Amino acid sequence: MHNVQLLALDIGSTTTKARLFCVDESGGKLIAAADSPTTVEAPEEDVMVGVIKAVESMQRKAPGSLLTEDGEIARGPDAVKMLTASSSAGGGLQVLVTGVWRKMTAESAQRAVLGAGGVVLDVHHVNDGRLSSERVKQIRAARPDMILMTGGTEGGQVSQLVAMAEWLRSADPRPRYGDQSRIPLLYAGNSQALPLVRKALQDSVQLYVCENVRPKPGEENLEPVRDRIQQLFMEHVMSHAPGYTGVLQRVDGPILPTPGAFGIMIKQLAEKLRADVLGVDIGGATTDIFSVIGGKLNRTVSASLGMSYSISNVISSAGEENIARWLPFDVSPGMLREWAVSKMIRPTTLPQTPSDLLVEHAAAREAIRLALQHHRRLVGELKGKRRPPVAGLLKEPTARSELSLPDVEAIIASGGVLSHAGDARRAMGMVVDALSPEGLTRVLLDRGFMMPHLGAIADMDEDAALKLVPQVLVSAGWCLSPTKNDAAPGEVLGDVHLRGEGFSVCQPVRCGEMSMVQLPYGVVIEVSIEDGSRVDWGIREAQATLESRNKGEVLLLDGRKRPVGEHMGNPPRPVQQVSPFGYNAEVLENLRTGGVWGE
Amino acid sequence: MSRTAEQHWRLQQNVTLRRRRAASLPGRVMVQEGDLVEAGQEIVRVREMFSVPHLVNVARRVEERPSRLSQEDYNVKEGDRVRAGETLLEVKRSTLMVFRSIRRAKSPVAGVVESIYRELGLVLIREDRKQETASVTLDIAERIGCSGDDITDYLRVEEGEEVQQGQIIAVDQGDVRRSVLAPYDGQIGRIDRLKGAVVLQRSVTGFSVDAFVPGRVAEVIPKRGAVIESQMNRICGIYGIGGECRGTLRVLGHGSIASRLDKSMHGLVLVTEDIVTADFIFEARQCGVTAIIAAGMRVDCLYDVAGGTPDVTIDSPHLPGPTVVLTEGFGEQLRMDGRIYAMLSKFDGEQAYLDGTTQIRAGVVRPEILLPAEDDCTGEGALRKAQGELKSGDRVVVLRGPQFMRRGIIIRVLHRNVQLGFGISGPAARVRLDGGGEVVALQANLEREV
Repeated sequence: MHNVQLLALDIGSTTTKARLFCVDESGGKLIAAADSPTTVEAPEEDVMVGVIKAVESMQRKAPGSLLTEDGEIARGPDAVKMLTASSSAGGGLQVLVTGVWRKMTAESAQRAVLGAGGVVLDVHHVNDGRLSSERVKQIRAARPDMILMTGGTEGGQVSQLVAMAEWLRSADPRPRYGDQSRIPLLYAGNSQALPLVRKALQDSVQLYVCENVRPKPGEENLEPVRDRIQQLFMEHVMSHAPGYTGVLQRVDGPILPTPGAFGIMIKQLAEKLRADVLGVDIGGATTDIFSVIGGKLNRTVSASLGMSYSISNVISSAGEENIARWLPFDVSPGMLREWAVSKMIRPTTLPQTPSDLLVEHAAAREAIRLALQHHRRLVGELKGKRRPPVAGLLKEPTARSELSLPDVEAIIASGGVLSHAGDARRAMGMVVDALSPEGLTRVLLDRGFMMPHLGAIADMDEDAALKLVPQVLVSAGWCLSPTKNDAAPGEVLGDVHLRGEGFSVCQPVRCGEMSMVQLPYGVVIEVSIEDGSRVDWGIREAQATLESRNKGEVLLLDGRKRPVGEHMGNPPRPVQQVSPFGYNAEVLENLRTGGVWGE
Repeated sequence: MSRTAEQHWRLQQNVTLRRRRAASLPGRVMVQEGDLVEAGQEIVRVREMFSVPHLVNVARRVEERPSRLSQEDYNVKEGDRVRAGETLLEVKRSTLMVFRSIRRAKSPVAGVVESIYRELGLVLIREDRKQETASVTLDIAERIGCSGDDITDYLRVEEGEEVQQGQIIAVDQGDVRRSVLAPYDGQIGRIDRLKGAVVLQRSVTGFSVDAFVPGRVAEVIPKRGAVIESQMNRICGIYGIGGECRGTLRVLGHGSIASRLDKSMHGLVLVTEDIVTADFIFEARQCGVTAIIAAGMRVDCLYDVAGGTPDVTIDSPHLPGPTVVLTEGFGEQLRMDGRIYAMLSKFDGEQAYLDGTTQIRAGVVRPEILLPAEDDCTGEGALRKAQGELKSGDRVVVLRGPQFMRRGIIIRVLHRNVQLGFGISGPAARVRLDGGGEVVALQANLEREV
């Protein structure tokens, strides 16, 4: 491979983010990055305008010419060799889901859509209590990009599927883009009901058929549905969106939904690490959680948990007291609400003072914590799965589906509040406090919002994407915490020894306390835990090896019980529990003694 | 210009606004291109007349497996028109050569047999709009198996009661549970104890969309509505409660406003330069005030107005009047922007058109106040953009930190990444505050004054 230039675009609702990478045999490098306003709406109504502007801005840093004299993206060996794109403009891929039972097919369908990077507009299932007229009206008003129809295991339910098909036909749903075209409907239900569903819907929708998403009560088949959704997104949604035809003509692969691209990269990393991986993407309106468990990718979107548009909802969902527990100073509930509503109505403002920043970081902890709860609810054991009559008799190993934090080797975190935290340790603090990792877990930060770019590249060339990972993900360090900790507060859980070339540290870990060890750059460090049998450390023979590849990486020795939030004690939080995460202790002390914030 | 694109402008004078006034469902458009329309004039009228599909499980009704039903058992075929109560399927079975039972499945509504799924024992009746009756008679006595006089014992509804489709009208809780459900939304018109029947009046709900502002029909959107073009002054608020309304503007000025409320303010749009309280809003509601325009309110007030713990999500709550439009935000020490207040004062006694709708998300929608432009206006006047690149000399409002809502003038724009301490950094500007003092604020936290 010779110095290949990869241009990756992520076309967001407000910003088009262009990144130019260079990849050769030895590795990959980020050459240039530029952002430009997305031009999907009037007056331009052509996303290519924003794309070209962003590419133009990168020209100065690029080794060759990125644009031709006609203003086109220059292609070829000395210019852009590969062009990829992901998009969430206009709200991304919006899917209406139908199923028979909420806990069965409808949930599987929802998981498939989320895994494909889509947004679930609504879930209709036969037992959702909606009146016919109400259902028809809501389907008609939804204007999704596509419909995913599921229901019935193989050989199972048929009549309810026909009823749902009839409701759909009555609603005569219209797609969001392309007023004159019929909406694509992907059928992934009981194949025996297909002829009847086809009969009902043949004149109303463009019907596509895929394998049953839930062939058996205890079996889920998400991959074919995900792939087909992404294919339909390209063929039917993107081709109608303003200016996307131009992007489609130029890119070398498909245009992926942005969260779908993020998911592809998380999965790649999990495969590379051969471990479970957890991903967080906290935005202004939503928080996405990704998990790869036993090689299976799961994604959930918490639509009302975000740091600007939905910040008020974070406060009301978490409760003011749960925000306050992360703060080193007293705060009145009224002022927290005032702060949140002010942030919500002016979502582009940024923290201006230390207390302002700390409140924002506290809210981020709660948003991520609640999003993980949501993820666990949706990603758990399949409902309707038959269990063996006597537990333990089933010898055959079954695929894991539930999230087990000790099995998670890495957390990949992305989002404005983490990128703009001012210090990687602060971002690590938010992630660790919110997710409560157990065992030895690495925390990687996507500080330049480039995971979707990497995902789109990975979809075309896995090796190139993996070579670029060090350019995109910054390691904040590791967190070491016992998995089962029923010790008394202050009790020593074990002595952690860190030994490497020219480096030796021995640090006792006490229950309820934590400390941060700065790791030397580029040194292989052996970790061993002595006298640690009091608790389970989640690592084999209480030994592990770390290699710090970024300056500033740390090892957080975390003796706090899990989940961290539930064992915090009454607010305010002691300064010594906040300052290790990269906050100036003196400032924190001043804030603590300064009275109640906001009064 | 779309409503979203207009959000960048806090105050627009004498601008031509194009408003899409359309229904979400097809209806009858009541205007033609070029028509001059009044604010309350109907643009599109929709009668919600869905052809509701009724999937009748005839097999279950006659307690037979679908496979045991023969073609002869079906009394209807696809395309047949049926009346409410007409038999769709009739099963005659003889047992022990002595008893002969007849079981029937009837159509719950008048309509057309659209599909018959014999393998499932289902019949789909599509209600025919032309045949749609305003009421349907439910034969309770027959369905329950009692005399007409006795239906009272089984009824779960009263005369005049509103019912929803699927709601139990009558039920027999005996060994074999039998129930009669409402086939659609409606109101119980009459209970006929002689015949043992209940008459259900169908709810024919409809709605219309009006012009909202006076203007000219620039374009007709077939079956949906029209685009109304009007010459207006437009003020963009920051947060709103409630929806569209209109009324005469009454400027209350500065200072205590609570004591000035009375019944004579019915239908008015009140303007205060200061913050508004929950008590004032409640009292205004009692007085029939149409809308309130204020600088701001305390967040607790929003919680009070929304009732208990509000679901303060991205969409503003739509509550019973008055519509409230806040021009500055939430807090205690807020004062309305001088130019906005001056504009509202200028129109004291004139008609104002307000929409409190607020959606805080990508493609944000803010509340707006529209005031008719002068007759002699010829085009766009002074425009003030709230966003965009800041420069020295700009008057700004500080949106975060201890100087929240303080106003001042930019004396220097600091483009580089300015470190404000504690890891906070970004492009900033030095602002000389009104009343003395200077502050370095992040540019993201400065809003250009109107």
